[in-house]
Amino acid sequence: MNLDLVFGALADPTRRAIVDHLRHGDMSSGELADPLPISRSAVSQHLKVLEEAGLVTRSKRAQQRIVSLNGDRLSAATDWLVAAHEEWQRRFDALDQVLNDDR
Amino acid sequence: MNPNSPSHEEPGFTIVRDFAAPRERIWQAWTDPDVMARWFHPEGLQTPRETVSVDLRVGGTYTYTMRIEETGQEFPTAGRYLRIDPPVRLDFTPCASRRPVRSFRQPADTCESTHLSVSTSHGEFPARSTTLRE
Repeated sequence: MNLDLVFGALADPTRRAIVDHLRHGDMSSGELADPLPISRSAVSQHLKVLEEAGLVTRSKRAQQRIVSLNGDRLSAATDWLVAAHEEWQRRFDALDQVLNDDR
Repeated sequence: MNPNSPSHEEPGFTIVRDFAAPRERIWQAWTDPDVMARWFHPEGLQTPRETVSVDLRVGGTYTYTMRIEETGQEFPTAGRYLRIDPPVRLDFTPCASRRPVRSFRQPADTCESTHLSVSTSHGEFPARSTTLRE
């Protein structure tokens, strides 16, 4: 998994709004686009970025384009963030300890 | 995350903290083998002082070996210095390969504290990066 693509995709507020909508379940691309103050083609571009990052999957159902969130991918990204954060907090805690001991 | 096998999938990121110490002492903690040996390892491991060597010049290398005391398992670690501007900036590789690059920066300090940022990038610096804050 390319986490740069995942975090890059999530670095945009419109794409985060799309991800938030999809937490409640699959939606058609029309349903996704309606509340957003941008054109359908702009929404489609955002969906493409999210799809390339592996965060959403688009499929055809009857006449509709259905968009689903890939929760596993989102969890893997947040897991990485939490692990990196914890590791560096521990390292900085150790540095802080050394600086305090030498005071 | 095992510091010896950095994932190539890791995105660039920056972590920041304010330390209650002048810049020179933080710089020393990152570059002086006597001080490095005391904290350059995760909890549960030790870095024996005799395993730490530092050639602090551009292109020079540093090495140290982390050890799990109970099992004797060892983790030799090495990297190379790319840029050295004491006490402001230190760029180095955190492992033997050319990437990623880690950049230690403390542009200024006050009488109370020093703001340290450490960035890791797999591409060009400055990275488009995710900032982790406390």
